[in-house]
Amino acid sequence: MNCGTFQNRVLSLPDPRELPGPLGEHASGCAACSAWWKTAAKLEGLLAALPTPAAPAGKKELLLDELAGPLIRPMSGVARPGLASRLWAIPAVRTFSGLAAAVMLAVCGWMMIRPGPNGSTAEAKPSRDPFLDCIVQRDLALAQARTADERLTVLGSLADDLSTEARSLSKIANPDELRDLSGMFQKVVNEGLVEQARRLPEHSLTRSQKHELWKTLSEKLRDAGRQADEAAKESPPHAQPALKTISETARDGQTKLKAILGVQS
Amino acid sequence: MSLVPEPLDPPSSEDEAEWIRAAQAGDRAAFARLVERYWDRLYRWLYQLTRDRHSAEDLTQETFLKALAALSSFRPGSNFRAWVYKIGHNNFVNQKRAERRTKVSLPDDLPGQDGAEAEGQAENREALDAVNRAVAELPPDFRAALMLRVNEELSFRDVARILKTTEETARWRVFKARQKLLQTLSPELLPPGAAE
Repeated sequence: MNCGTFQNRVLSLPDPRELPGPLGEHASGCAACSAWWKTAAKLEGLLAALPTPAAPAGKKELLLDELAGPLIRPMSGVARPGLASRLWAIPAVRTFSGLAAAVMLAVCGWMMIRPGPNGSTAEAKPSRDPFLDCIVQRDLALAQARTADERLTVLGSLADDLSTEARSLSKIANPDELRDLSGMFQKVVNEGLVEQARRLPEHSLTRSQKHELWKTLSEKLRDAGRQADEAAKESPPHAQPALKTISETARDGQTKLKAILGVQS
Repeated sequence: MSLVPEPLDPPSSEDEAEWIRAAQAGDRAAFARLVERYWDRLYRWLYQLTRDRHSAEDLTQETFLKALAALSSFRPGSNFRAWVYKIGHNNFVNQKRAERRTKVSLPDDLPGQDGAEAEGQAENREALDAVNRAVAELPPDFRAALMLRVNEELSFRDVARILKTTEETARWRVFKARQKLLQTLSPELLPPGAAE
């Protein structure tokens, strides 16, 4: 065996640190190949010891938490018959698609238990609920979203849905429901939009793509804030805190997104 | 003749088969055990492919979510690790296609949390830095094959399955990757006096 053959065969081994008989014999009798082999073996050891930086966003823990958490299962006696089953059939609810889905899960979970606008239940009002249909559509869109910016766009629309619902109910809903709605809006903006934007991979979007994304989301939040302010002028006092929360959250979300996405004025 | 330090823990395939069966039957805790077992290793490999820890983490999460969604299609008795890594590699390839026109990210700073054994000595640290830089310069296909072999100790056949290629090509990629690294690194790795 010549030295060239020896070296080629060592490099083809599953592990060059372990020499089979004939290769070992050659290395024993050839100082140059013995030194070369030690270098190859050292390289293999260094490759196995290459450091890996810690994952930045704790997504493993998030997934494990979701796997350990309670399932949304069809429950008896909830506000709307059939709703729990429908929600359980939604892909994103079943497949735990990360943080965005966690926010969506919270909204869906709340939808399952919330009373109707006048404290009534769905048994008393079995007709279709446009808001629920909206949420279901958003959930399906979220399940189909392939990238972080697509998820952000869906979450932006979800925030829009929630603020619209809050405005339309501001004159008739009770304070608790309005507070819940504004709380959901806060959750979607802070834990969904802002947090997802923060976790966008650094080079996943070009500057112009980031600017486009910012424009889309910013418009939704600006409208949500402005319309909440307008609605507050005509709503009863008990609706004011919820509308104010929506307005402030929308403005705060705009500011944070602008900073996170690095958009210049 | 051997310079291998210590064998790695062998995977306990019986436990794993049981977890897979339970997970396929809807037991989320069982799937969580599979996530626990493979997350860090998959993340490490995907980091070597992407050289970006954010992307690697996203891809790892995406891989397990897809694995969960497709669990019913996994054939019991086949190699679960290879199956998961194959999903991970598909995700990586898809991401690369999507980002082809964006700038390639530079490697993250390495705080060096793993590989603690090697960090003890300044000499090894320098060598690790040099190897890390050289690995980053390898073509992704070569890097993927090499790191599957080195970190996961997978057979060339399994490497080939994951990378959707032939066993011979997998072996050749590992061969060429090692050859290239040795050419690049020999002056830094050769023991004192060996170069003469």
